Amino acid sequence: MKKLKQRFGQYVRIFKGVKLPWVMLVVVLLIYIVESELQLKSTTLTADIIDGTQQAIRLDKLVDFILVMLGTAVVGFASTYLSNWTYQKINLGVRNKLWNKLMHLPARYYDGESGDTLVSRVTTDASQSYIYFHVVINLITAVYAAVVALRQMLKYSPVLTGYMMFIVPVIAVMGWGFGKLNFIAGKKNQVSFSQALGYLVERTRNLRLIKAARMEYAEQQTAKVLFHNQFKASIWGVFSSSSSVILIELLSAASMIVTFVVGRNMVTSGEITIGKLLGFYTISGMLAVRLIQLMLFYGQLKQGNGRMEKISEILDAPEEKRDGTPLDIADCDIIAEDVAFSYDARAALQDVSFRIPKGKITAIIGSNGAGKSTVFKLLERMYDPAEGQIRFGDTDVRSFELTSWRQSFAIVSQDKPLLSGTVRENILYGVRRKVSDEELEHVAKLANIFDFVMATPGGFDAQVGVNGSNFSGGQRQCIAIARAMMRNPDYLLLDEATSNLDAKSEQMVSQALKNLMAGRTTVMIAHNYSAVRDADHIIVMKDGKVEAEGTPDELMQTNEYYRTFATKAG
Amino acid sequence: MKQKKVSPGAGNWRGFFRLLGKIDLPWLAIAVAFVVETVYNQILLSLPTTTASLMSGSLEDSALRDAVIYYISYGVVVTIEMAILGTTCRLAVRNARNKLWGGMTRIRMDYYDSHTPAELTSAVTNDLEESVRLLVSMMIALLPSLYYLGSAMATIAEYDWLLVLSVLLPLPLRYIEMVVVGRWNYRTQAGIYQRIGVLTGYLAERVKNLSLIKQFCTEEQELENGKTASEDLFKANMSATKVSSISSGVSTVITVFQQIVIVFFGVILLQNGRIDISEWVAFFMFSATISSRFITLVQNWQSLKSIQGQVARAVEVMEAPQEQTEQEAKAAAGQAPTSASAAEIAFENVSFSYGEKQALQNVSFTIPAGSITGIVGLCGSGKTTMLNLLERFYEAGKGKVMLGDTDVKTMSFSELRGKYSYVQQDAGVFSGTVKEILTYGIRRQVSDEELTAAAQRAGAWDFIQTLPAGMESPIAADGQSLSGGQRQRLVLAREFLRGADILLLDEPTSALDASTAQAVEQTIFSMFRGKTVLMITHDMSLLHDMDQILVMKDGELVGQGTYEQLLTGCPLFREMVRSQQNKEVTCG
Repeated sequence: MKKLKQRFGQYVRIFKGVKLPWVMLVVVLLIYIVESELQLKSTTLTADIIDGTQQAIRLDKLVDFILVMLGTAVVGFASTYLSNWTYQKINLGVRNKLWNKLMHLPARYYDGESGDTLVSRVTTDASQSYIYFHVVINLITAVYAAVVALRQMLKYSPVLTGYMMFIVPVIAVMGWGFGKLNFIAGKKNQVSFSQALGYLVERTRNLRLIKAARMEYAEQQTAKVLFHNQFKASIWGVFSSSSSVILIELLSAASMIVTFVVGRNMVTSGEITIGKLLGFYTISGMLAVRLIQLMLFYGQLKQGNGRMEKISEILDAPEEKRDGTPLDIADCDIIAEDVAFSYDARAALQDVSFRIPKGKITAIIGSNGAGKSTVFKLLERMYDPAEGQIRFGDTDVRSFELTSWRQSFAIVSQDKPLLSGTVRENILYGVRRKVSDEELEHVAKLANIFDFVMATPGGFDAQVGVNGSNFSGGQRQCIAIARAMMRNPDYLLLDEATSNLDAKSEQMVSQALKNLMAGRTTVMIAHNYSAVRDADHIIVMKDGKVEAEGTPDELMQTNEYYRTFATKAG
Repeated sequence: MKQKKVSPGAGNWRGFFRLLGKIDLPWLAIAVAFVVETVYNQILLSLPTTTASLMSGSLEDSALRDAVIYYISYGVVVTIEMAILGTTCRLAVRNARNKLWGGMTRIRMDYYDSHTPAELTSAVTNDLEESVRLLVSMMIALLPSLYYLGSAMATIAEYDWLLVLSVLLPLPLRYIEMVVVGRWNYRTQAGIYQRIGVLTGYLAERVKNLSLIKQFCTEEQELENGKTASEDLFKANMSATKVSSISSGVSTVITVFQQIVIVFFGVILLQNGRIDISEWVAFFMFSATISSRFITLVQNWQSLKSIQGQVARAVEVMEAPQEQTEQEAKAAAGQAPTSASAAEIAFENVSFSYGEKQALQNVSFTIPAGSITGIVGLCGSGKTTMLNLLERFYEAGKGKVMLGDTDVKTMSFSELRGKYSYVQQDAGVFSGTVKEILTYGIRRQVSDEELTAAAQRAGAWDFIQTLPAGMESPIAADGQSLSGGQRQRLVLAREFLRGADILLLDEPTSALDASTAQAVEQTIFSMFRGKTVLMITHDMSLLHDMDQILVMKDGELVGQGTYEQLLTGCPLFREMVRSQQNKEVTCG
């Protein structure tokens, strides 16, 4: 019970601060009720008309009937449109709240998670936010309609209604069973689908390997098993829907027997007219539908819960601490002191101490997994150290305002991410002042992009494409360099900025980088000596620790790793 | 956006038949489903006549009994019908998937390269699902449905021919509504879904680049962007709703009109005494099912048109040029497969182009068995193309690629590719246990000792031991849970176990950092001593020890010889050595 309350609280929190369309929710509820009233009305009218035909046609009833049908059409339109509007509005609210949250979460939160899962939180999962409201509104409507139908049945004949009540528990149990079966079938389907999808996504990416390894036939066999599993799972769905049909049909046969066997004597004795008996029969069917509907809500809720739980996890996560004193001191050395840090269980940095001298070029070298990129993340304050501290001069960096701290850094990394939009938008990304065309051109020339941007149709207003795909790797990197220049940062972090480029592009990028580095404190992660040659200060890392630190000359004498690194240049 | 004209011309019908002809339809199940469907329709036909007397107020024993028996038997039959129809359709989907994927694994590389993996994946998953299901259910239900319509009409015609008229009269209106509104609906929705796709893509891109947003402190700006995108998404969804609710509104109004016509006719005939009350009730029930059947038929017709694109894609993949299988190759040659004796490789005046783009021009060279050859050159100079031709991922345009004294074209794919070990730039491994990765593509029993030995030689044994379940530890999709060096070492161990004579390496260390790369390179040379090795590399320092180096430029072989020879004889090589100075470079 306590757990339930906790859960409920969790779900309510999702909507805290979201502006909900309460008025429209009420309107939708009312429309749903009117809809169910009209449905009932049309049934009783049909009963009246058939009754009437015994003697003569009741034209007035016929007109009523037509009016009710037309009313149903109009109300049906209104209910679809308005309910969708309301539900989409709720989704919108939650999506915005989620987005807001994502912007302010610490990097730790999404670093481990793959981008795709987060994307589906914002897009797919958020589009289910309305589900609780949907279920509640439908629940009220269903209860209302069930009560009204029951009342109408009682009006026709209390005795018959009494007999009918024997069938109600059966319907309830059935509805519950279907809900369960549906849920299981849906789950099985989803599991087998994602297995097959995962398999196919992986294989279609590297068909070459299959061919080179001559595994065509074996892969066909593997896929066969997966496709067969998918088939078996989908049979659950077939089973659940067809078994629901037979049960419903049997039930309606049972209620037919009850109605007509009991009702027959009542008609003979004049307690009820035939038309009313038929009406009773139809309405009892409507009651059954409503009851089954009630039972199905359980499954819907459960499905929604899964998604909402993930959303509420994100919404409940603590945000980045952003406040502090603005960073207005002149450049200082950055000093790490006994810093330890770990992602989950894995220790990434242990007892790390180093100095980054202001105005100099510092290079961090070491093999993969030595902790170089983690150092960058700590410098940018994407993470805070678990132990020890990073100081700016004498001040712990944590005491500075986060935005002003990050704004004094620019990072250029090998994955050169651009965002879709124009070249201009990318260069000016994050710049909060007005930038003149002259300045833009000047920066573009320094970053070596002016010529090829001008040669592109649209120039600075050309679209870069998703992830910058309209430009080559080297060009993307140079645009990223122009973007960094535009921010005019005091500190520059280069994460293998020239790797994965061919010789020609590398030359272009190196030149641009040189212009960027002029007059700034630079920290670079490098894998080859040529990038390190100009460094004033070297930090050698190994297995999450600093192995050595010093000038190139010092290290040449004292450090084996650096010596190999430098001499391999051959 | 260009609108594709939607008219089911003869070509499209052929597309449907071609698809159906290719997917191993479960004929037995279809036949059974067809029979059941027919029985179901027959029973449905007797619904109005068996229940009419009860519904029109007769309380005779027989009327009640008939109705109850009818409902029970109807329930049973409809359940069987649903189960069998559903199962048959899904069986067909499964078979079609097997077939399509089978074709895809044998598809020729040129076709593969011109399609994104996502397209291929969705061809197997989404495209097939809907289209095959629809086509097969149409195959089963179309005739019984027409039979039902005909018989129902005939029955009510027996009551009075005017009744038939009242049912038929509103149908053209209904047809027009469905075609016109349906088309409008389809078109608008397509536009809207495209918009939704763009917006979703926008949000996705930002979410994937959250670190960038933090680095640039653009949280507030992106917050606004995201809000605008969500707002647009809301609007797009609403336009979709508007369109669909207007369509359904129009449809409801027409239904009402239909009912009015039917009631009007019925009531008049009833008053004139041309039909009696139970016939009126039976007619009323028939009219409802007839129009719903008609709607279903037209809907299916519409959906058939809308799946044309999907069907075309599936058919395209199925009919795409495929590589011969071993058996086919043998049958075609009518002889025992030729076998290349030595592991000597020769290119004789080979030219090749990808479509318009010339990739190799008149390239000739020989690589003696057991020697080590390096291939260098700028990006796009044709280095990888040479490996592609050796593996016959592509066929040489002009000239011959020889293995020993045999043209590779005359060898079966399986035999040819069995001769190579192929190591890609970005180590290719599929998810699975370490053991599965190591034995991928190896067609003999490999003992645990042998596995361990290979892993040790490749320098993979140490980290395998640190994994929780050793050789049985699962490695996640794309081998992401391993570092690049570890993955590459697994690949080397696998290729070592394969024991092929020729080793093809396409920048095997370019994704690794310098020290790891060096270690992996050393492993390669010591492990595969004595084999014929062909290695594409950008690392000039590796070339010192090679027996021979090929220098490529713009698809032409501009230098061939040892390091020293080329240093004096090949200007491009000299320039590369000077400018590179041990930089790692790839074609990225």
